[in-house]
This record gives sequence, C-alpha cells and structure tokens, in this order.
Amino acid sequence: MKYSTLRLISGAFIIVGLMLSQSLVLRFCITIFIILLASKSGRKFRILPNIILLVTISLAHTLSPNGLVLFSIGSYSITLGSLEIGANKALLLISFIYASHYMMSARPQIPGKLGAIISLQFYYFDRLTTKWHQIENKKPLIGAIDQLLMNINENEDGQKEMPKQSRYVEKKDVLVHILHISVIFSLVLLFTDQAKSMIPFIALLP
Amino acid sequence: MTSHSKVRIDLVALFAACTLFLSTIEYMIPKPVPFMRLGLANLPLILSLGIFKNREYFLLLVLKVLGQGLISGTIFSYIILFSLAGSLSSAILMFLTYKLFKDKVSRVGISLTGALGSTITQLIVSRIILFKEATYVIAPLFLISGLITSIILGLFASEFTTKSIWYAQLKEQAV
Repeated sequence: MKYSTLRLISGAFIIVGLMLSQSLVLRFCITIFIILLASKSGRKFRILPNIILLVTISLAHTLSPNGLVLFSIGSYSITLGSLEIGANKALLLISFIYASHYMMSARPQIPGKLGAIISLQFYYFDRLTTKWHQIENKKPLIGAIDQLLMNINENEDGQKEMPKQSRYVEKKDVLVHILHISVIFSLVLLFTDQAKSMIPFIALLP
Repeated sequence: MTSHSKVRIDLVALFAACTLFLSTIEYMIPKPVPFMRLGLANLPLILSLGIFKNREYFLLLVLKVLGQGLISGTIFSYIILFSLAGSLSSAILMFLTYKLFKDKVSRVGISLTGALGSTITQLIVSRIILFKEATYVIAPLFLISGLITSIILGLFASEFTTKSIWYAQLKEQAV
C-alpha cells in the first residue's frame, strides 16, 4: 500500500470521528489534534485567521437567539446557545479544512475515474482554502477569482506543483496512523453518556 | 486514460472543489432553519452549463450533494434528503431550461428556475417528513429568501461569464 493511501484512509476515519463529536470541548480537542497532524504534514498554521473565523461565525450566529441570555445590547441579546452553535460550526469547518489537507498533502491516487475525481476534488479544495488568503487584492472580485483559478496548480513560489511519488508503507507508518485514529476515537468515547456517568466532570462540560 | 479525458476529469474536480468551497462559505452564514440553503454551491453548476457534457454535469451534482453533506455534517442524517431532493430538482430544472432555451434565457433566469424547483421540492419533502401542516408557516420565508439569493447568484454568474478570462478560455475549449 502507498503511504498516500494510508494517509487518506486515516483521514477518513478522523473525519468520521469529527462527525461523531457533538460536544464543544470535544470538538475543540479534535480540532487541535487535526491541526497538529496537518502542521506535521506541511500545512502552515496561522492562529489569527482561525481565531477571526471562530469569532466571526460565533458572533454571526447570535442573530438567531438560542438559550440562556448572557447580556443584551439594547434589544439585541447575546445568547449562550447561539454562541455555542456558532463555535461548534466554526470548529467543524476549521478541522475539516485541516483534515482535507492532511488527507490530500501526499496526493493519493484513488483507483478509477470517480476515485481520480474525488481525490482531485479534495486536492483543489485544499488549494482553494490555502490560496484564497494569499490573494492580496480581492478587488475586482472576478479578476481575483480568475487569478486564483488560473494559478491553482502553482505552489507558493509560483512553480507548477507536480504530483508526488508516494513511497510504500512501512510497519511503523501503520502503527502511527492507528495511534492517530485511536486518539480521536478515545476522545469521542470519553464524551459518550456512559463515560459521562462514570466521570461526572465531563458531564459538566459544554 | 487519454490526455483529453484527464483534462475533463481535472475540470470536473475543480468545479466540484468550488462547490465544496462555496458550501463551506454557506455553512458559515447563520440560517433560521437548519436545512435552509442559500444556494451558493449552485454557482459552479450554473457556470458548468454550456461547458460540461450531460454526464459530467450530473456527476458534479452528486459531488456537490455529498460535499455539502460532509461540510455541514448532515451526510448521515435525514437532512441530506432535503439537500438531495432540492439539489436534484434544481439541477434538472436548470439543465432543462438551458437545453431548451440556450442563449434566450439569462443566467439569472436559470438561477431563478433552479431556486424555484429547489424550494418547492424542499417544501414538499418538509410537508411529508418533518413539519407537516407547519410547512405553510415557513413557506413564505423559504420562497422569498430563495428568490432573493437566486437573483443575486444569477447576476454574479452572468457577470462572471462575461468578464472572466478563465471562463472564456474554458468556453472556447468546450466549443
């Protein structure tokens, strides 16, 4: 098996774990873990854009009030529920962006025509999310989109990115990836109802 | 695989990635009802008309629905039914409108047809599965928001098809 395929499979399991996470704290922990994995695989991590994303989405969700009112500005109420929903969504998005990079950075080749399209789809998605921030002047918008789409295959140095030749998997790689998946699912298990009944502290977390 | 076929695969994948990217942006925008869609991810579908072959267009549709489900975390829930029903009816209507009228209908018209198809289908599914009689309460909100967003989307698509160099090159290759 090629290393890129192993990374793809591992990433797919990680995304399943991410989907299973409902608790805000759990999703936060999984997001941090995925960011670490993606950073290790070469994705640059900048804290500020992610914080801006988290804050913006959370605040935008206060437009639909939900749950406990924390405070009010005139007739506009900031509610805990809406902030939680917004933060949950933002964390899901951030982790999905980093997880797709983790899965695709080794450029896996899924067999068949559909497989090729899906692997390229995630590759381009990763390029879009990475390069969108790099476009400095987004005005006019159509010009900026043109620039992005025409240079989508270029790396940061302006060179055309070529598909990497993936090496074959060693025993050590399999063990490392099993460990990654185990960490995610251990976290998910820790936040199940059974675990909460055994460890009351977890039940108190949002 | 021939080089032409590779280029086509590459193009479908790029459009599919754009639907995923726009789904991500749409997901960030708060909505009063969880399965309500603004339809941003429809933009690549609208733009692909006239460039893609029929099967490539419908393949893009499938990838769009799956991508939306993955981004919003609804891929394993009943909510994907709304997305699937809405996207399918919208895509078929847009496809038929384009095939029947070609250049006689603008991108705004195509977008409006798609939004109408999607909204009506989602309301029917909602009436059957979820909200029953209460569907009539949310119907005006759905119809009005669908109308507004589809006009904006159509206007953008129209602007993009006339001004984008990248799109012009694609269109030239397709012809």
